[in-house]
Amino acid sequence: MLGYSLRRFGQALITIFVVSLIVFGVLHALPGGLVRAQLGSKATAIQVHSLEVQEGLLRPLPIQYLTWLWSALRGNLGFSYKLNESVATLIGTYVPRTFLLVLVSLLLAVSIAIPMGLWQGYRRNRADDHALSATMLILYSMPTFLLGVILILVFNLWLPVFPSTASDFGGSLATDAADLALPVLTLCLANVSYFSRYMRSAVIDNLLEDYVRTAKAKGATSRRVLLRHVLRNSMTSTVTLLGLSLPYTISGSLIVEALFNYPGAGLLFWNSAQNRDFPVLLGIVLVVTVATVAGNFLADIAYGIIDPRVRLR
Amino acid sequence: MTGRGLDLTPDLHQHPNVLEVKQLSTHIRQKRFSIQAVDGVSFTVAQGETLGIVGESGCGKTITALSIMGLLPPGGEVVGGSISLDGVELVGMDRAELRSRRGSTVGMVFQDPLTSLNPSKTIGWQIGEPLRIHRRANKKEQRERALELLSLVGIPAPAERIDDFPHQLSGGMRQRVMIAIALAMEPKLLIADEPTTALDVTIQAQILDLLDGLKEQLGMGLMLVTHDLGVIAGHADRVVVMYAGQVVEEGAVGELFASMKHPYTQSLLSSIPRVGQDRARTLSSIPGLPPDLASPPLGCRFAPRCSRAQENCASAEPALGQVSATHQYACHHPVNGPLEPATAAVAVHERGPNGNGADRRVLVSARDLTKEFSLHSGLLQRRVGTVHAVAGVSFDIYAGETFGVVGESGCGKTTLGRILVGLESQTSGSLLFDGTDIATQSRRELCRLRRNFQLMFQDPYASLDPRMRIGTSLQEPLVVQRQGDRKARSARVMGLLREVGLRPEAVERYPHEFSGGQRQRVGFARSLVLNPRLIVADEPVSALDVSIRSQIINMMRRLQAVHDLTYVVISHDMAVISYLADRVGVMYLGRMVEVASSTELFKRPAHPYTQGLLKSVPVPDPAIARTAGRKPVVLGELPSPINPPSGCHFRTRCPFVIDLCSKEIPQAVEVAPGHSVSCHRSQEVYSGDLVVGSTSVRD
Repeated sequence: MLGYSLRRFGQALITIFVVSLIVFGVLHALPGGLVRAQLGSKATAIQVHSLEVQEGLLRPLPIQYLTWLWSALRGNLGFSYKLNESVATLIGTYVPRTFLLVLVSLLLAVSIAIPMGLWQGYRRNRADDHALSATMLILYSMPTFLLGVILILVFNLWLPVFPSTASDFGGSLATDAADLALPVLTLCLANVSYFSRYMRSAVIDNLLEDYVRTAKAKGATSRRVLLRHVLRNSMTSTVTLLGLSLPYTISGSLIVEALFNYPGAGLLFWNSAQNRDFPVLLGIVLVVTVATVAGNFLADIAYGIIDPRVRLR
Repeated sequence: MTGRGLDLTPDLHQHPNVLEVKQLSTHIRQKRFSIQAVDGVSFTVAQGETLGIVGESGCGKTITALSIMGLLPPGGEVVGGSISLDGVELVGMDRAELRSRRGSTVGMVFQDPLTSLNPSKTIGWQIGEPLRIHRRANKKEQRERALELLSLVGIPAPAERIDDFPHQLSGGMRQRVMIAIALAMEPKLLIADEPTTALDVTIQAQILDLLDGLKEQLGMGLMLVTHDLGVIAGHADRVVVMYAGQVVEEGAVGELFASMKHPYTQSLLSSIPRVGQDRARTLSSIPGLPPDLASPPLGCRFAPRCSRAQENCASAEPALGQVSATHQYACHHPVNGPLEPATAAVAVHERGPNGNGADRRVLVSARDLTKEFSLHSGLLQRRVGTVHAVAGVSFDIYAGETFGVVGESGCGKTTLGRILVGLESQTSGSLLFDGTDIATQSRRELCRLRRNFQLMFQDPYASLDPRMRIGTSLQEPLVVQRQGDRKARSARVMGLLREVGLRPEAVERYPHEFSGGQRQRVGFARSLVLNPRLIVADEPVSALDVSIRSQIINMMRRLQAVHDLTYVVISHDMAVISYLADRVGVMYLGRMVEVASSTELFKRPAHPYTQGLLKSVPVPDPAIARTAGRKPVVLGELPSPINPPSGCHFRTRCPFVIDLCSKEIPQAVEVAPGHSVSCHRSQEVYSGDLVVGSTSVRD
């Protein structure tokens, strides 16, 4: 298991290295370059040249990359002239809020989807399975913003239990949990439908496996067959999905944050994109990518714990 | 219900019956119709007795077993009759009560030990689980019992193995684990459904011996479900022959084999190729296919395939005939005893001049052929070891002959076959095809050469594109090789289909529309399309039922004569090899340990491994199977090909091992012209001074 983890960790590091190269490349391929992005199109050639010298932009690219990488590793991701704040500070404020939103909604989604898929697989093609499948299909095909609007309608306007905006969120779950409720629910429901469909089909496949017949031949009850045998073997695909759905959930959070006015990285990204604030945009891209790779690494580790055969590979 | 029963008189047995099945009928409901899988079946199993249930696939033997277990597939239902287990009626029993008997009063061992074990639980957990279920045992008790059971089923060093996962064990070890699970609660009845079909003959002999011993030790009844009359002959006390959901004959093993009455039993027995069979004659086979059980025929169900059928067979169900108190059958026109070999069949087609070595022209010549696969592991995927799949193999194949390759799974025979047809390239050594070195050819030359050698696969279903019509699949090689125009290709395919005994309509069909035997005919036609000179057939009949198997074997021999083909037949089945091959090579752990003519090799093997393999083959004759000493002669398992034993690879399992064996690799020596062996003691083995199995075997 240690060898397996180390191998996966090594692969994750390589991925991050490649991503950093791409981010650096994009930074330098910007039309007019970084300097124009900062000074605007009306700057004089002298202004441009002096800034280029100041920022070290005339040195060879590999050197520039190493310098950039070294400062990025130390937490220096550049400076946002638009917001007059270092990118690191901005990310330190906004990104954790997004991660909180994403993680809570993913965990909630998994803890609903796994038991639900297990039940649906067991009750395959009965009325309750069909009803759940239909509901999930509706949720799955609905755009996130529409789902969010419906949730606001139901839980704020009709039943006033949750606030309709999360703009006051202070960063602590303990005090401001209610603010998070609707954004989390919106992000979570889309994922529940996604995960539970996979879980259901994994359970159906596993119930047809020979080892289930062996368990029944031992005299195991249906409950035992499901919980002790089928559950673990069916979870592998869902865990892989969890890792894969991370980037898609993070981009989903952009819409949710905009909808609920939640002060997270998505909102920051949205605003920076409108202001052409490239250092902030790329900083967010870098951090989110690293987080995605890390998430997939964790999913691989969980996969190895669930399925002993994977560890050998 | 149309069933009829074969009632036994239970007082003939000294022991009480643990299982009494009477007039059992089981149907499986499908969407539009119902399959009458089991129809009026009756039999008993006494304590300490082994009842064999034999029949081809689809005859209802597995459904009978699953009816007893209450584990029928979806739609399956016992619609009539009674199942009495240890004096308690199971039909109509409350589900919870039935469950409490599963795994405690009756245990079951399934065919495929890999898929039948939960991949994510340790074997110790899985063996201990029945105790948790039936006795609410705690973890410590479960573990202790698991250790006990692991040593009972003969797993060495149980304490080191108990925390292993199934994928870490070999096939034979997994089947031992399955047996341990079934025995955890010391059941009165053990049902073993094809317990050794997925295993090698050497391991099969070990597992069957284990089951025999455990049955006696624990005093349980054993119901042995198999398609293999050889297994029945050696290990069952009584046998029930099933056909199309019914019992057609039933009796004590010795009596039934000596004086069988039902033509089906007779044909089943005579269609099995045997080691040392007269190769000049074709194998007898049963024409046609078993009936569709959704609407079973009236009268005798075997009548459409029976050579003795007369008018009354199709109209009236045969009544029960009683030979003796222990032998009954259901047939209007019974036979008397097994078919005499002399009357079995007509002579095989005469083969071309090369067939029997008149003109010994070498077609394929292999010298020191080696194929290595490297294993990678660790963070940087460093090379940590090498699998020597084929380790320095030399042999010649003569034009027009059939060269057989035998050995246990993992011995490298499939890899060798793939090298022969150019699907793998050798790591070192030379391979000449008709004097041309394949390894040095350009891509273009190789493509042109390839039409000369073709591969015939074991599983024709998996090797045909499921979304391609048969006609398109068969034409593809011609398209790839740019041969003929559309019309010529189509004519070629039609001609081939006729040759392999398929109707021309087959071109429009998809693979799933064919039966297993028909698909293998398609597979064979595909390998013939380019008019090759050499066909490498990898386990060509292993996936088929015995009656179909002999049809395919006969076809292969017929077409070999017609087209002057050279065959390489790779198989683990000694009897098939002995019948098909002119010369045979025996492989062990990547090395060719013995090469000889088929007649010589099977009569006078000079390598202890060949001897052991031969003695492990179940003989479908109780007289031989019981006297030859039923103990397995090759013990242990194939060592790892990553770290093979030094010197002679076989020394770890050889009863005649001496000091020299671990020090020196035995070189091939000729004990007789054309008979070469790699063994330090080949002279003694060849002369008959050393015979595997007759001396005390090293444990």
